Order: sequence, then C-alpha cells, then structure tokens
Amino acid sequence: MTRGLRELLMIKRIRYGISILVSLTILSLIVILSSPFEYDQISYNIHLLPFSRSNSTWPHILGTDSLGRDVFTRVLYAFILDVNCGLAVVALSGLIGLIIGLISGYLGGIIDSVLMMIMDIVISIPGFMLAIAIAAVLGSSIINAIIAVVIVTIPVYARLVRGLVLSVKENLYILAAREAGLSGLKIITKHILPQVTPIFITQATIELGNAILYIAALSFIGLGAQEPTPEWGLMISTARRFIREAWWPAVFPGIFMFLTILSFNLIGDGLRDYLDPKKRLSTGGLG
Amino acid sequence: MAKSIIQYVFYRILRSILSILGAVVIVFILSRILPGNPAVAILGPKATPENIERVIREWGLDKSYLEQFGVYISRLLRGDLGDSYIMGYSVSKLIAERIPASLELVVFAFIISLILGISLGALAAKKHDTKLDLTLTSLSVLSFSSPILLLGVLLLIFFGVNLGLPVGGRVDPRYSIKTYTGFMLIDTLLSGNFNAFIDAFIRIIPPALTLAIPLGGLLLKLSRNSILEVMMQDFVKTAKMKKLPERVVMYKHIIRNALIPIVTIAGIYFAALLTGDVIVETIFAWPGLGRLVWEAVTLRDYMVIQGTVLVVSIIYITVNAIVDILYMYIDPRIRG
Amino acid sequence: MKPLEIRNLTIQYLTHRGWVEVVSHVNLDINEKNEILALVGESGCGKTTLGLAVAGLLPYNARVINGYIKISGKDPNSNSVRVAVIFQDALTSLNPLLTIGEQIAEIYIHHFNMHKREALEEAEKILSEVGLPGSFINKYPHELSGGQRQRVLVAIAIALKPELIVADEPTTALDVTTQARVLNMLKNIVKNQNIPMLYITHDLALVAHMADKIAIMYAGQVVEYRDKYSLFKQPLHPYTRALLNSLPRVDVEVSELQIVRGEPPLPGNFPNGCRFNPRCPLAFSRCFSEEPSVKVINNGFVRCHLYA
Repeated sequence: MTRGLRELLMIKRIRYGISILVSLTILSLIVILSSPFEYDQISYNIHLLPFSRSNSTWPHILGTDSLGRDVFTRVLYAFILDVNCGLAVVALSGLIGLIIGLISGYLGGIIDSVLMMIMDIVISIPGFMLAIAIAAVLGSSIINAIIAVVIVTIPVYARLVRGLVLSVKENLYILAAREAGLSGLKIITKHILPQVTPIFITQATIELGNAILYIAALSFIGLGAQEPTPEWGLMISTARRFIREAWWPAVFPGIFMFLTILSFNLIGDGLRDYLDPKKRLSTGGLG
Repeated sequence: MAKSIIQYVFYRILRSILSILGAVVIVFILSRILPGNPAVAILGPKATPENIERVIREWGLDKSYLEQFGVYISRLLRGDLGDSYIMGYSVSKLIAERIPASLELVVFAFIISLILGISLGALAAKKHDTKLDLTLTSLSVLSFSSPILLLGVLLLIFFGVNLGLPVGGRVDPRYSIKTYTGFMLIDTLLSGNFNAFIDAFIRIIPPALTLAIPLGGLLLKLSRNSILEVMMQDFVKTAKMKKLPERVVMYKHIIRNALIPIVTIAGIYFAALLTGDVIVETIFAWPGLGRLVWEAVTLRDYMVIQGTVLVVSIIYITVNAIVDILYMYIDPRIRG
Repeated sequence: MKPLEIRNLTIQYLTHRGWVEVVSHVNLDINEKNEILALVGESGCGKTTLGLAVAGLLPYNARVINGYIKISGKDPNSNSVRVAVIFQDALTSLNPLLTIGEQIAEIYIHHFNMHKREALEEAEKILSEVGLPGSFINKYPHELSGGQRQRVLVAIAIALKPELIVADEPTTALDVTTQARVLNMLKNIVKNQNIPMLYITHDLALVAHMADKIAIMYAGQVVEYRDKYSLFKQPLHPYTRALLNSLPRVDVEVSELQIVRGEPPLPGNFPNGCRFNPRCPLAFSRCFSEEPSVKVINNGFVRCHLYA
C-alpha cells in the first residue's frame, strides 16, 4: 500500500492538490486557534475596510466586510465548514450509493430494476434544481442543504458502482468463486469491492469539489447556511450589495473556494489517470 | 434500416415522457411534504381564512393524495402551473415571460464555449507536447475548476468597475425595445436602435463568459484528448496514405470522429449550464428563470419554485432526448 | 529507376527510455515492377516499422536517422508518390462514419479531378474488380464482414494507382478460404497491373505461394535476402533454417515440431555481436563479440559469420 501511495505522490497533480489542501488546513487551524477576531465579531465603525487601511491593533489581512467582520478569519472558518460539509455529503451519499449499487448490480432482477428506476427518476431532474426544491421544502439550514445534496448525488455513485459490479460479475473468477461455494457477501467484499474501490474513490474525490459548489450555491441563493455562519456562498451573497465600494469580501471567499475545489479536482484527475490502463496518452499541463 | 431508426426514436421519446412523469411525481411529492398546511405555505403573507379555503378547494387539499395528484396532473396538462399569490401572477405566465432571457443567455454562452473549447482543443492536439499545449491544458484545468461564484464576481467587477462598462440587466432601462422575438440582441436590431444593440451586447458578454469559461475549459481538454486518440487510429493512416490534402484529413476524418465523445459530454454538461445559470442570473441581475428562482426563494414562494423546477426539468429532458436522437445521425454504427 | 530502393536505413522509436533503434542499416531492393518482395520475421523485428517507413507513414515518435528510401527515385513522403498500404485490421483501417463509396471516391476526387458522381461510379467499378457488389458503396464498414472489408482495402489500394503496395499481414485475421481469395487477388494485381508489392508477414508458408524474393528480418536487421527457390532449397542463415524447420511438413516424419528456443530481443536490449547469438545453435566465439557484415552471394546476401 505504501508503494501505491509513493507512486501516487509522484504524480505532479496529486502533489499540487495535496499541498494546497494541507496549506489551507494549516492556515485554518492557525486562524481558529489564534485569530484575534471572532468570525461573528461585528463592528460597524470598521465596516468595508480594505487591508491597507485598518486601524485596530491587529491588521485585517483581507479587510472587513459590511458588518465589520474580519474577512480573513471568516474565509478560513468557512474553509473548515465547507470542506466538512463536502466530506459529509460525499460520505453519506457515497455510502448509500455504494450499497445501492452493490445490491443492484449483484442481485439483479426485480430489485435491480426497481432501484434503478428510482435512481433514474431522481436523475431526471437536474441536480441543482432538485436540491433547490428539496432544500426549499425542508427549510433553510445547512443541515437541510446537506441532506438535499446527498439525495441528489446518491444516483451518481449508485450507477457507477452498479456498472462496475456488472462488468466484474462477468469475470470468470467470480463465477469460479460462486461455484466454489463462497457466500454472496464474501464474494462482494473479497472480489468485487477491490475492483470497485479505486474508481469509486476517484469519483468521490471529484464529487467533493462538486458538493462544496452545491452547498455554496444553495447558501448563495438563501437556502443553506444562514447568518452569521461563515460559509463561502453566503459571504459572497451578503457582500454582493456593496461590490462597487468593496470587492474584497465578495472575491476572497471565491478565491479560497476555487483553490479548494481545484485541489480536489487535481487529486481526482491525477487518480483517474493513474488508474487508466491507457496511460500512454500524454496529458500535458500539470503532471 | 429505416424501421430501426423509427423504432429507436419512438422508444427514446417514450423514455423521455416517462422521465417527465417521474419529475412530475417528485415535484408533487415535494409539494405535499411541506411542513404545516400547504395552503398556508402557498399563500404566504396573504394567508387569510377565505384564501386558505379557496386554495384548499382549488387543489383538493382535503382529499386523498391520489385525488390531489389527479388534480395536479389535469391542471398541468392544461399548462396551468398554479398561481403565485405572493408574486401576484400565474406561475405559467411568470415562467413564460422569463424564458427568452435565459434562453438567449444560455445559448449564447454555449456557442462561445463550443467555439473556444473545440478550436483551442484542436490547436492543442495539433501542437501536442509543446509549450503551447502545456499552457492550454493547464488553462483548461483552471477554467474548469473555476466556481461560477468566483468567476461571476470577478467578471462583474472587471467589466463594471475596472472597465466602467454597463453591467446587469439585459439593456439600459432608458431604451424601450419592442418585443419581437424576446431575444434582446435581435429585438434591438429589429427596432433599428443600434445604440441599444451595443448596450445589450455589452451587458450579455460578462454573464455569458461566466457560463462559457468553465464549460469551454472542459471542452478544450476533451477535444484535445479525443482528437489525439483519433489521430492514432488506423483509419487516419489510411487517409494519410491516400495523400489527401491535410485539411480533408483533419476535418473529414479526424475531427468528425473526435466529435462523437465531445457531443456526448457536451450534452451531459448542459445540466451544469442550467445550474450555473441560476447563479449567473442572480449575480448579474439577469431577468431570466434563474433569477426567478432566487426571487422565489427569497420570498418563500413555493408555487414558483416548484413550477420553475418542473419546467427546467422538462427542458433538460427534452434537450437530452434531442441530443440522443441527433447522435444517431452522426454515428451510423448506432443505427445497427 | 528501381521501384523500391532502400539503403542503409536506420529508424529509431521514442520510448520512455529514450530513442531506441528498431531498424538497423537495412538494404533492400525491388527491381521489377511485377515483383513481390516478402519481408518475413517474428513480431517485434521491425518489419511493420519498415513497412510504414516505405509508405511514408511513420508516426511522430519515430525518426529515420540514417539512410534513405526511394520509390521510383522519389522520397515516400513527397506528394508526388503514392504508396498504398493494406493493413491487417480492416475494421479499424476504415473510417466508421463514412460509406465505403465515399472512402473510395475521395481518391478519385482528389487525385483524378473527378466530380462526386463520376467518382462514385468509378468506385462501383473498382468494387466489382475485387468481387464485391456495386451496392456496397452505400454501406458502412461495420456492415461488412471481415473478408469483405479486407477486399475494400484492396480496392482502395488499386484505386490509388500507386507506385508500390505495402501489405502488412493482410490476411492474418481472415479464415483460410478468404485468405486464399485475397492473396490470389493481390498476386493478380501485381502481375497484371505491374504494381510491385512489399508483402510483410510472419507466415513463411504463405510466402512460398506469394513471393518472388524473400527477406528474412530479425531484431531490426535483414539477415538473409534470396529469391524464393534458393531460400527454400538451401536456407543459409541459422534463423531461416530454424523458421523453415518449425513449419509442419507432410513429407517428412518428425516426432516433435522444432521451435526456435527463446524470444527475440526487444529494441534497446540487443546483445553484443550478432543479435541472434543467444538463440543460435551454431554460434561460436566470433558471434558474441563482432557484428556480422553482409556477405553477397549470387542474387542475394546473408548476414552471418558462418559465411564471412
């Protein structure tokens, strides 16, 4: 396993992605532990200050927003919040999707048809729209936003896993194992899962970026996080009104969101190329 | 062979209808699991006892769920998506008014991304493994990962503040443009108002670019890889052996084959365009369906939210079906 | 001017280990317009690369670093020379999106200045020459059988009116009956239309039927070049003898088919001295230290220390 990890780290894209993530995490931890500002510390007399003109004892590195809150602090709190939300989404939808895909692919028959029909119905509505509809019905909170995004992304994993299971199922060694009398569960865990896991993890990494995008987007239009929660989408939405006077509270959340999503995309992309048997295609760019 | 084409088209349309039915069912279920009295939620601030009575009668809210579904479907088939008591119009009217704006924006953005993505991708493929290729591929990864929330804000600031150009809305409200087609770019020209046309053009560029850049980045990487893969195929050697002119080899043989996976992915990412559209329209105050969603969320107007979600889903399903059917014309192997 | 003249040709391929040599100092000729030169060898010996080079179709990761190829005195990459290639896999060698007719007609449109309708009529005629119905001009490659597709490739080759045809394992994927048909067709084209052919294969038995001259290739080098009868009657190079011995024969009783021990070396891993020395039953001291040079004999040559 460590050899695999070492090989992975040799791919430039994965290195860049991981280094960005690690830097941001360290930065956030520093901020949370030792920032002189609270993320909800409101102070109207210093509102909308850019970083060059702050007059408190500690500088506001990225300025303040419309309520006088330190942008730098909030942006990094949001990093922790959004990434955790993304992880929650991926973990939940991935787990449920994995189970559905395994059951559907392995058992086949009516169970497969019914499950896939449900998945197809969910997919018939574009993801973001469905998430909006669900979040609107459940109520505006970050938990509900997570639930909405989870429901919307389950089919992605379910179909992926089911497809993989179906292709592996045809392999002779599975038939051999079944002849040898291994129980279904054992076959799934010992033979099918190892084939499914790498591609599943790659997809999950890429979906992490998407999950963060969805959560931020839902919060942006008012359906996710609510004030004073530090969440990237919400911060941009609040800052939009004053964008002509102060660009920094609207831009920096976006920049940090971009860096985070980019790093997940890089890692996922690198993983995908690593697993691709046709590695001969030169991919140029970052690794 | 003609018979199998008709069969394929028939089944594909059937599948679409089933998908639409599925979407209707989901939207209906969602509309009935609202916490509390659905009538109150629909009416919002106008929830007087008489109104509540009226809404209950309209939608059969006191009857069984199956009967309610029946009412819902029958109104749907008449094109009636209900009335928004909060905004004061019928939902269908609101949506119909906003569709042209969104259509104009999305189509404009889609075309830009296609042109930019595929042509730059072909360039990267032709000059593969050179510095230019590296630059283009890195750019594509960056663009594809750019969240609309960042890109939109940056472009808003760049065009509006830095360049001082008019942004937001479709055209300066001082101009009164008659609605011929509903597409501002065309209508301003038809009205003979060239200044208005320029104004409308300037205003559509930033939101269109915001939508086009991420998709264009994806198409760049896709086209590059697809073209490179096709270039290695044997039939390209056959074409080269025939000593055909280079342009013929490139377009007739390489690109036509390379386009197939590109078209597939482009079709799938149409959904991403719809997602981004909501954000873009909100950022740039573009009066389309996307912005309608944001307004409805702000006002807690469930009728409008559900109606919009349903209409957008139907559009999405239809576009997918059209792409699939078009596919059959592009790739003769599918016809069997 | 000779139909084909190859002198001292050396070709390298770019691998992850850098540039490696796959064809080394090859000299070959085709002297007559109705001659078939067979190029025989195991996979990996460089024969396909040589074939591609003769056709001017080397990919971007291959380069000629020495020597030259001349087709009727001209460079194969120039636009005034047409070399037809018949590939092994006819399905992937045809554009799946175009009809058969379009793929033949484009030759007439671009080289013989015909209009589309004329060109399609000519395409029908060519199809009948290879024994396919004219209605096939409207069919797509995936609608044809393997043998039919191969004949389409032959039709394309003829339509091109080339100076030379390179056939790279054209019948490996076909059943025996179709194989015979296609081979006979090819031989007829050479003899009746006076178009020389470079016939690349690993199958020495087929060569007996087709070839006039035979070149045996091993590890990027031509180790023996003779006319057909001399080669079969009196093979000189130990590798040639081994190849012939491994063919099943009906006239001699053998308890076991003899196979050549070992594997051919991969490019970049050639041994010192003669490249065949690890597998050669007759190798002696000189073979391990010195590369054998070409020894000319009547109407051919052999590259082996046994004859130096």
